[in-house]
Amino acid sequence: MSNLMSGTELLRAALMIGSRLLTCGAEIYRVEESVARVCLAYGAKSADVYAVPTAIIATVQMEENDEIVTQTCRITQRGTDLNKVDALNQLCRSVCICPISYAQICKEIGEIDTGAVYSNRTLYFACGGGAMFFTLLFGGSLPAGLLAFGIGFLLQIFVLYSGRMGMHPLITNLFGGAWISLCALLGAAAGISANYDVVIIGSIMPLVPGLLMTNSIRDMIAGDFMAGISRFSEALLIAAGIAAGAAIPLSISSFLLGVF
Amino acid sequence: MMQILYQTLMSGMSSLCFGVLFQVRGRNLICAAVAGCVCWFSYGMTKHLMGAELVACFAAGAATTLYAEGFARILRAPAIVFLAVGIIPLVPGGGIYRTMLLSIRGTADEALTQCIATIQIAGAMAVGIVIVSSIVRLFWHGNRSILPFKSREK
Repeated sequence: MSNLMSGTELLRAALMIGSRLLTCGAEIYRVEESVARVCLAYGAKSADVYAVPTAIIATVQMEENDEIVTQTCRITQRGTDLNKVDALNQLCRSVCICPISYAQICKEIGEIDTGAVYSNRTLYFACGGGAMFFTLLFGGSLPAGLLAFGIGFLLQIFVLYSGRMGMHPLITNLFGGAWISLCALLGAAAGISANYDVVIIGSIMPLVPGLLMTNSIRDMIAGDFMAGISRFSEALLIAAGIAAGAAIPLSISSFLLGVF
Repeated sequence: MMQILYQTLMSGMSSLCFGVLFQVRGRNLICAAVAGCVCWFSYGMTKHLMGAELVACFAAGAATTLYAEGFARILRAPAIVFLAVGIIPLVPGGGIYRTMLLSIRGTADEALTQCIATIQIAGAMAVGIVIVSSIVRLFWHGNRSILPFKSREK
């Protein structure tokens, strides 16, 4: 079993799984545990893994020749793709029970990489729907919900294309926030929904980092302080971008009309 | 009561939409959407009965985690699939936004008050999640539900 892979190959394979887990939004402890377990299953004597949202560092010591290998993996992109987390988790577990060769692992990971994702149009509708149901949940009327649907639909188009163009996330959030509050104010002016606050709060839910905030506190409770702090600051930065964007139309309208 | 049921339905629907945004597929998506209902229902009922916001957030976090860990075992998926989608209706996104908006407007006192309230909500939920998930892991170790590599369906 231990002859299946050299230390370098093993670490490369384990970190391929680990980095994808982190990119797809898995918990920190799951990333660390997955990488360590894969290494141990292939006959490493010890495996030390340290993961934060922006990097993974792993060191393994091989059983047969006491060879020590270390690799660092920098993570720059982060999103949420829970389907891939599920698939990688399955792969990880099956590899631990029945180890396969390096080429086979690469093939499996390649299959996961090219796995099915929802089409862009589905995502537009999902984002619009999310904004609509949140507006209704927070006590908005039906017209307000429909307004939020339109806002969310166009917001997702903007977010997808700005991500593709490589726009800085802060700028994306800034424009997103400005777009949402502008539309909500125009909606209020057009008499669709006088309560523009509800529309704004509902529509920004796809952007705001509420999940990030909750996860950061979870990480800190679990003992991953660095990960917790870095997620917390990421959450604050994203929220600052959105709020700064949203404040622009709100303050202009208060300057012009004296509402707000 | 009717209002709680209406909100439960709405939070389930928004969880469904967010499940799609998070790329959850198939039967996992349906179960994740129901997790959103579980989350809001336990929050609404606790708040209705006890009137305390933080206790309600704690209860919602705990109930959703229990549901997520249960379905993680049944459907052989990581619990985060159901948990992340399920707690979406209750995560304090609006709170973080309001904190930042108030601090940009220059009202530091109000911003700080809002910030503490937001951290309290997120903290209460996180504590509920951590307590339940560690208890579940203590009593039921996940290794039983592993499928060997060869027999895994393609």
